Amino acid sequence: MRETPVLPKVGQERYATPFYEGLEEGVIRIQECAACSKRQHFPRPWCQYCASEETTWVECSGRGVVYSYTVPHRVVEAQEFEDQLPYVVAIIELDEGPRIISNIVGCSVDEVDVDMRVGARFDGPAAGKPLVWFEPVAVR
Amino acid sequence: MPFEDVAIVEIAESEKSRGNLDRGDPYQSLEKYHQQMAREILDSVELEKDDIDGYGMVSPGASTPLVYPPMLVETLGFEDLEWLGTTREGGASAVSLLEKAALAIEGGVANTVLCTIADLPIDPYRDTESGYAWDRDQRGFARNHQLPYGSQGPNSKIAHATRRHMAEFGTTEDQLGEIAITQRHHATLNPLAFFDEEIDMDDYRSSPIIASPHRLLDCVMRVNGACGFLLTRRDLASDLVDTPIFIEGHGNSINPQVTERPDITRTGLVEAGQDAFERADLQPAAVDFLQLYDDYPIVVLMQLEDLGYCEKGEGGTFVEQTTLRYDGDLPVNTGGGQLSCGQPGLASGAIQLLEGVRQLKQQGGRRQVPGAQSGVVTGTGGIGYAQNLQSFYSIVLTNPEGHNA
Repeated sequence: MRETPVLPKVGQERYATPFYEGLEEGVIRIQECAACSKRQHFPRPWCQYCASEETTWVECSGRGVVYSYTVPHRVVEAQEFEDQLPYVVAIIELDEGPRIISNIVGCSVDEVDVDMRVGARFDGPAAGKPLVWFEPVAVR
Repeated sequence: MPFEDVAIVEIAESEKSRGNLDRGDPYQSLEKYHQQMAREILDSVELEKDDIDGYGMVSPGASTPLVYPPMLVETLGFEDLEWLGTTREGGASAVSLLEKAALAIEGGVANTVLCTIADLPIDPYRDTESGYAWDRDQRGFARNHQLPYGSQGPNSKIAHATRRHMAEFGTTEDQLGEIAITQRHHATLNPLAFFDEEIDMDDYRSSPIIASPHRLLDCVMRVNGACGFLLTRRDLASDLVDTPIFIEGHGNSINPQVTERPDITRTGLVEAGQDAFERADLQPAAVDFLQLYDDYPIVVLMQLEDLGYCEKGEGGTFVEQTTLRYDGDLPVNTGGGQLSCGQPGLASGAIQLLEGVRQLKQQGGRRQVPGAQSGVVTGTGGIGYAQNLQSFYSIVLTNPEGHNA
């Protein structure tokens, strides 16, 4: 991805502010329920498991694995991304538990695979914006 | 049982159109499609408009005014209705609507409910800068957590399920192709299907990638079109038709997986399908056909697994070894499914429902499943965040021969 054609509407869901501020600062924050300890992503107004409104925010390492991915070759709904084709939309399984949808950058689309280890990056075109991208990292 | 006093008596389905005026494709407005379905059904059963006391429709993808259901009722002139129902669950909408309309009759709120479902994914008169057929989500996780990462609609979202199923279980492109090819064969026998030419594995393997691993022949094509069905009390049904159809069992699951790591290869039919067979007191092996919601071949394959026809992960081998043709081992999507009939927007799920009713009425024409007495119809719809679909409905339909008294 060479640009960020669409940004989230960050003001729309106030309970998600810590998440978006985190991305702008360079960290992924995930909701963890204070009552039942489960974690969820995307941010919600209460815990989707037990309905508690007592949530805390876990700061994630940014590390995870590719659970699945796709490489769009045509724009169907998000026409703003036409100039970015082809790119990778992936579901990344964070080490901290939940999964997040994002883009894989820093490699060719052919190098992406299921179970590939990835790490978050906050530099480049997404820097300072409420977005996160991931890149392949060496397996330790 | 929830639907024992209800019968489906008649159906209607329109031609499918790509709505290109320059090319001379047929065009009808939403309202005309609804009226066409109403006209065909009422004429077929020799009822008058005023014999209808309940009406159901699906909120279309096409942009409509805020309070569209009553507006449509006013346009069509249904007077003093007892019941008006609308569903809005993506591809699950049609089967969801059927169940809710049946509940209205079962509960004594209405006696005779007409449901018409129409959509214009391609609307030449639409006023939008973007040219999108449907309004894009303006809020929620779709807007803020999928769109900013270039998620390209269902093609790319369900591609995640296909890719994972391939990676986890070794499911192959050719196995998925079998589904597309068989359904296309059925479509050549269905005058209401949009596509009428056979395809083979070379065609499938060479069709262009849309969102990997989905190729063009994996993706439904949106068309304008309409479907309709009529329900009435079981004791009134035989006055109207020779072959009423019964809802013998049902199973629903909306939002089946609330968990940190949902399994994208698993659908809500694991629970819902089992419920439907149990309530119908039928084993999976005993039904005569399956009309499975088919936005993509992987969705058909996962449903075969989750309905219990094979173990999870073995769907690919199963479709290789099982003839899915209308005259084969396990008839699936005998009219071609949406993959070959076209996907008429939010009327999509009615493609499966109508074909199921048609087969049980022995109106399947050249693709009639011999001696069909019972069958499963599924509706699935809505796409979750990093999940597959959100709403799952399964019903077991029978005709009088297959009905458990």
